Amino acid sequence: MLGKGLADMMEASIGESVQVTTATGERAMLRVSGIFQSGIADADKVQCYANIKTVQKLLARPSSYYTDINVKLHDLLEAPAMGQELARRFGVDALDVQTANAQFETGSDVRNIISYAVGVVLLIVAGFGIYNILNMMIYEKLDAIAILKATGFSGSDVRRIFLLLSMIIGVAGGVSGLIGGFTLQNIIDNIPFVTAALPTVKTFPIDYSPKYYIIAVTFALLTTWVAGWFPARKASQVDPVEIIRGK
Amino acid sequence: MSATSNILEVVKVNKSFHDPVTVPVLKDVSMAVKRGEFVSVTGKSGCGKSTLLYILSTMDTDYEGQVIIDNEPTFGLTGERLSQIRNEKIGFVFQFHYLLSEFSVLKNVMLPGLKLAKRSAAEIEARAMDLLKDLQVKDQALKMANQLSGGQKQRVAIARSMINDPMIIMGDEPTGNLDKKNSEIVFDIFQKIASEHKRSLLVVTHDNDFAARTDRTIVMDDGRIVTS
Repeated sequence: MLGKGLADMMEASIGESVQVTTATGERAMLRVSGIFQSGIADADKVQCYANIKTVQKLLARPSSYYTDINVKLHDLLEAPAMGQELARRFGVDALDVQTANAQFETGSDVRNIISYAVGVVLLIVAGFGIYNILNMMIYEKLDAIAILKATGFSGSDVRRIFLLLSMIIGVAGGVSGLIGGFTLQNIIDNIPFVTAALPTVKTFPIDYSPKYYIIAVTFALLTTWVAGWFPARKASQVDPVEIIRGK
Repeated sequence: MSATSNILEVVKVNKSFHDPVTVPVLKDVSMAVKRGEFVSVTGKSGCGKSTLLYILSTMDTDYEGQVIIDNEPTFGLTGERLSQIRNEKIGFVFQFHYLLSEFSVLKNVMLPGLKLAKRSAAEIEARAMDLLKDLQVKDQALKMANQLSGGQKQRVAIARSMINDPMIIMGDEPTGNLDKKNSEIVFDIFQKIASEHKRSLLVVTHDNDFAARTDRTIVMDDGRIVTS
């Protein structure tokens, strides 16, 4: 099996034979059974695979000769533990995917931290906005709060009204944010993104995972709830006698 | 029917304002209001008559003594329970109407009934319409509250105070903002509530003509009841 870049360079197609030379000088004619594309152009230009038996024969080694075994897990997070377990049990060197890609991981962690930090700052700003609006509204509605209390609505009823108001803002904002986010994702998904290193990527890579939508909505609701809670508590503590007698 | 015919009983209520210095406002005030009685409270301004009313209304809880509403002592009850008592047993009419301008007249009247939730919304609406009809503002029912004249607003406020058929209706200068003609209308309505519906009324007023025509007038001076 040849990488696509390699096959193109050699103008080899499926069914044809290519001559393989090992580092020790052994030669063999092997038939091309398939062409693969990993998505990374540099790897596709140099890599090729053959049956393990063929390679062992080619290198003149016994059938117990293996240099590397790559294990792919359903859950990547289990890799470090499993690596240690395998190393201990068979006395081999085991390298888990996280350690092997530590540099890449750090890079994407830093990017994640930056984007979440920006998100949190925006939410705090929006939260203060809602807090201010509700505070002003309570001053405007003191009369209404006083009469509601005089006619038998309790402090917790009043608090519920204002919390409900802020949750309506939160839900409306959250839903429109989700729709806006999805639309933007769609637009970005269609912007061409062509690079020689990644031949299979034609547009910006987009992750539509619902996880991010859930995080966004959760934080939007949490922010509005907190921003609404303080003014709502203040409204619930309004003393109707002060308002009514003050007239 | 209750053990006594007193709807409202006040036993030795004392209250002081503490800011900036301690000033006693009410001194050993005791009184009672019977079922179906129309009582007015008068006195010079600053004599404590409004303060007394707000203690009776259960909205002011910072006092010593006991207020018994419909045989239930209210001193020390939770805010939640006091709200229920206000909702179910007391109606209020203030000098200012306090209608919610976001709602129609009908909704304003229905609001305390919807809170009590003893009857369905349709029944409350029917009762609200009846009350508005009694008070001759039925044709205004679907207008917004801020589109009415002062006298009409006050009549709507009275309808609101009656929606839950309370034991007692309390008024703080209910005619204070009204002209002679509208005051007259409000007085007649109150008298009708007392005589026909057998509800008690306790109205604080500085209008001596108004007070003279009620069943009983309580005169206060400097935090004490002078005549009752």
